[in-house]
This record gives sequence, structure tokens and C-alpha cells, in this order.
Amino acid sequence: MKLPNRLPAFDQILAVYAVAAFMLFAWSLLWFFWNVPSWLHFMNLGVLFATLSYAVAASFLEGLTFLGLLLVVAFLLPPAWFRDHFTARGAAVTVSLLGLIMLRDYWIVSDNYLLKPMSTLGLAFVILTVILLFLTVKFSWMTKALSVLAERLTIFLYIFVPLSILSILNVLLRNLLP
Amino acid sequence: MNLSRRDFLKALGVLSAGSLAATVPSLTRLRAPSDKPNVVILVLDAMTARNLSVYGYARQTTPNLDRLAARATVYHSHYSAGNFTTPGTSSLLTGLLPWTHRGINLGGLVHEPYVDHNIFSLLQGDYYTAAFTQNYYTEVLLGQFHHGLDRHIISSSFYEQLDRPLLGKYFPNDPVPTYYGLDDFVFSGRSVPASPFFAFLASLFHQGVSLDDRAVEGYPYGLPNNFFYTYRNDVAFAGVQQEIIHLAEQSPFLGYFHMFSPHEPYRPRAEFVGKFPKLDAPFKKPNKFSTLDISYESIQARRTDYDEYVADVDSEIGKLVDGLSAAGVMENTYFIITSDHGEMFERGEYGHITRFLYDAVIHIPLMVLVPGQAARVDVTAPTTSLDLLPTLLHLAGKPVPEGLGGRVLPELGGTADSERSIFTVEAKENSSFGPLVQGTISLIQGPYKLIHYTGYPRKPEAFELYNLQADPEEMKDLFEAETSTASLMKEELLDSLADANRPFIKR
Repeated sequence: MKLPNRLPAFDQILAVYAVAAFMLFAWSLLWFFWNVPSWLHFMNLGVLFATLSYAVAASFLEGLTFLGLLLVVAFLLPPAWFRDHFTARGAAVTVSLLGLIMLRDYWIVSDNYLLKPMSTLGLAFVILTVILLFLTVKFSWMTKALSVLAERLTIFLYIFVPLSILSILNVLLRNLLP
Repeated sequence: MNLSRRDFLKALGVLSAGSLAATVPSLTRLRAPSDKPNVVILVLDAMTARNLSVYGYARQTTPNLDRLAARATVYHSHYSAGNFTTPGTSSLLTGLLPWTHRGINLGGLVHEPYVDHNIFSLLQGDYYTAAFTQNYYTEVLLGQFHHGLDRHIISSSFYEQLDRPLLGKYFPNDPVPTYYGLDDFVFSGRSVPASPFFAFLASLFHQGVSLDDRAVEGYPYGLPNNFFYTYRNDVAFAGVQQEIIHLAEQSPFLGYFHMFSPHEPYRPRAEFVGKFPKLDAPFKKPNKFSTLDISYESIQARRTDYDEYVADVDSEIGKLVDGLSAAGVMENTYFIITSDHGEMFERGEYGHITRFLYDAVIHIPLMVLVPGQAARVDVTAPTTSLDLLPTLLHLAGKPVPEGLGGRVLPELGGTADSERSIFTVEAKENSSFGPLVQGTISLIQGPYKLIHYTGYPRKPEAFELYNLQADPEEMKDLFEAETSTASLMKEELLDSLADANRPFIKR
């Protein structure tokens, strides 16, 4: 089987990336702006925008890394399990894994260590993912809802991708120019 | 990769030699040969003079400094210009008060006009300039000053275990935004990791091997930690020793080495734990403004931990100087031992993130080992961390720019002035771009110390006056009793604050 045949269609990949990018960019920007009031005590706007560039570039790469992981899974698993329903199932895995990691991080700084052990996090991920995947198998409206959600979120890529390109260019220029 | 200590030191030697070999030709082209002595500034973070036996502390915390003092110039009334790293270090490096250079916030930055106004930039060319710090607030400042550095030894040079991946080293031309946007943000900072998936992947690799707060062999409280990585003081000091020995090949050189210890967390090696018997003193002190109210017993326990850690650090200082002496480096080197700020264990608080400016948190050590000096010299006249820059310029035979807050140190070319004014500024809650409206300012003049609290909620304006000679523990507030002294000092303090604020007040 040729490599492209093992991978989902481009529009499906884009939809799942949109879900991951939306969650990751939103999270990163949320904490960036949470820091801004204290940073503004001593940062001028030039340093602030440069800092934003690094944060956005990191989020962009993070989204691609996460997507890469999902594509590896799609490549390895039998097509009927994951690739053939990539938009819905990819979105379900993205929401459950990233959502749990974010919840865990937030809880830890709030002194709630329920999800801190990797075993607990792993178990929670398996349970949540199985539930979501079961729902997508059992109820077609669930599959449709996840697919529609993922496709709708692609609109945000019109913001995230240009912002990322500008940020990466800014990072490159700041480091390559004398 | 796990390296043994021996492997690490070997690798360090090879890498350092390799990197120096690569840079030597260009450097020798840049600098003319000179017979100027070298300068090493060793900063021990959060080391208060008040807990050092070399300054009369009841516990024998610093037998090695006591020994080194026998052939050094010891400054007994040396004060930091700030009560935490950013203002303390910024002032030491720029020779300016915090209300001028504006590095006043936690992790803050020096304002642009002063970025090229620092020890490194002003001495570069005459000296090969190099710097290393384990404190990331200082690493940001070194990032700001990197144009003045011929060699910036990255902070994570001598670590045992990274708490998280540090990416800033891959962007040496852009150190400030990479600290805030990557190293203190992506994987975790002082809050939630901004890149949760990257942080998750990083934690997978670190799972089960973190040496952060677990007892390890020889370190019953865990390894020392600077909030970015764990380290061993013996390895870090040995690494610094090797760096200085290599720098000596570039003579004359100026080396700034800012060690994180004995900063909290206090984690001495086992041989120093339980070293000191219970301390009778100090007595309970008045606690008028503290926002905390930690119990006296708890604070004394922390004091003991700190003292043990200071003794550990002192032993490393002794080994470092002995090693440099054996290598012949000390023969032609001014070796300066100091701190960026102190540490307090009184009035319901411990540490240095405080609004207070009592002596424990601003009275810091300063000891200078002068080449060829055979006997101890004691200087009791007040001095400040601002004095280091003009002193080094004087020693280098360079003109001292106008507008510096400091003076050339007594016994190193300057004259003692027991009546000079010494300011310390705590203003971390203010915008560095505006007038200082909330903070604490102290003014030392002769035997007196005036402390001014301004703008704090519920305590908007307050003054305290102490006679440090008669009352070194700052127990008895004389502000109401000695009105003429209080009035004169208050006027000078408020005038100076108004002058500092003037450029930031919008008309």
C-alpha cells in the first residue's frame, strides 16, 4: 500500500489540525495575556511582541507535532479503526488528550494532584477516549457533530497560520540579523 | 544522559579548552597586551552579612572566609541597593540606583539607555569579559548586557538534572524574549505550562528521574535547585574554577560568577546538617508591617537550615580560592566576594521577597583579595554595591563617568566617608515606566538609618529611624525621639525620591 493511501485525506487532516491548533493556541494565548499585566511593568512593546512571537511559534510547532503523532497512529492502525473516520475520531482523541493534559496542568497549580500521576492520566485518557469513540460508533449524530465542529474550527487557521508565519519570520530575523 | 561527576568535569575541561582554542585568535587581535591585573567577582546569591562569622555572627558559618580575610580587605558596612536579585544585581553591574536603571521588578529589565552602561561594556576592550550566573533573573540581565560580554557561559553549564528543557541557549542573539517566551513559559514557568503537549512530552522523559526535592546520597534535603535545574555546589564551583583558570589565559580578564547558593531552597550537604547547636539569640523583633506572621520557632528552624547551607557554600569558596591559588591565578587577580542582597529571619518573615529593608536583607558581605596583600584590612565606613563599577574603572585606569551613584572603594583608591548617604530601594510593585508610588526606601547616613514606607495599602506613609551603632538589631525606632536627625534625613530621602520620579511624571 502506498504511503498516501495509509494517511487520511488532506481536508480531514486539516480539520483535526484545526481542533488541536485551536486548543493549543487558545491555551497559550490565554496564559500569555495572563502574564501581560506583570510583564508590562518592565517590558517595552518591542520585547513584548518578540516574546509573543516565540510563544506563537512554539504553539505552531506544538500543533504540528501533535498532528504528526495522530498521523503516525493513523498510519499504524488498521484503516477502519482510525483513518477512515479520521475527522471525528481524530477530533475525539485530540479533545480528550489535550483537554486532560490542560486540566491536569491547571489542577496542579491549584494544588489538585488527582491527574498528576502518569498512570492516572493515562487511565483517564483511555476511559474518556473510549467513551467518545463509543459514542461516535453508536450515534451517527456524534460523528457528525465532531466532524462539523472540526471543520468549523478550520476558520481559525486563517488567523493562526498567518500569525505563526509572521512569528517564525520575526524569530528568524531577530536571530539571523546582526 | 547520566554523566558521573568525574566524566562531567573531564568533558567540561575538554569543551572549555576547545571553545577557548576556537576564540583565542580573534581575541588576541582585539586586545593589546596589558599588565593589568585580572578581576573576578564572585556573587553568592542571598548571602547576608548578618549570618557570617567573618562579620561576627555567633555561629561559625564561614571558617573559610575567616581564613581568607586574614589577607583581604573586608568591608563591614556594605549595602546592596536592592533587597532581591533584579535591583541588587542591576545596581552592582550598572553602578546606578534602582530608581535610575529601573530594574525594579521581579525578573525585570534595565531601561534601554543603561543597557550599555555596565561593568562589561565599560571594561570590554581593556579586559576579556566573561560572565556566568545560576540565577535566571540575572541571566536575563546578562542577556541584556550580552554585547559587552566576550564570553557568556550559559546558566545551565553545571547542572545535575534539568527541571525542564531550556531552549534559550539556542537563541544566543535574542536572550531576553527567549527567556520570557520559551524558558519561563513553554514547558512550565512560575505558572501553568503554556505549551501543554510539549510539557507533557518533556515530563514523560523526566518522569521518575527528577532529583528536585528528594533526598539523594549526601544531600538529605535533596539537591540544590535554582527552579530551572538541580545542581551540586561542588560540581558548580569546580566548573567555575576551571573556567577562571582558562580565562587566565586571556589575561587581563574580568569574570563575573553569580552562584545561586545559598539562595533558598536551603539544601546543605549531609556533613553540614546538624552542625550548629541551638542559637540563643536573636530575640523577637518588632513586627509592625509584615504581611506574613510565620512563627518564631519556624523562622529559627529556617535560619538554622540557612546557616548550614552558608557553611556548605563557604567550604566551596575556600576550595575555589585554594584551587586558584595553586594554579597561580590569584597572584595577579583582584578576587571580589560579595552578594546581590541579604536574607532575613525575623519579624514574622524569612527570605528576601519582602517589603522590608532591615539590615539582614540589605547588609551584604564585601571582601576583596588584592594581589600581593599579606595582612587583613578592615573598612568600617559605609559602602554600597554601586561602588564596584567606579572602583573597577579606577583600577583599570579608566575615567569614571559622571552620574554614577557610587564611589571608588576605600583602600582601593577611594577615601572613606562615614557620613555619605547610602540608599536602598524596594519598588517591585511599581511600573518601571512610571514614578515610584509604592515601596520602601532606606537611607543610611553616619550611624543612622531611615526607612520610608510609601503607598502600601493600609500603611500609606510611615518612617522608622534606627541608630545602627547603638542598636544594630534595629529594635528601637527613634523617629519620634530624634526629631532633628529624622527631619534632615527625611528631607533628603524625599527630595531624592522626587528627583528620581521627576522624569516619569507626566505633565
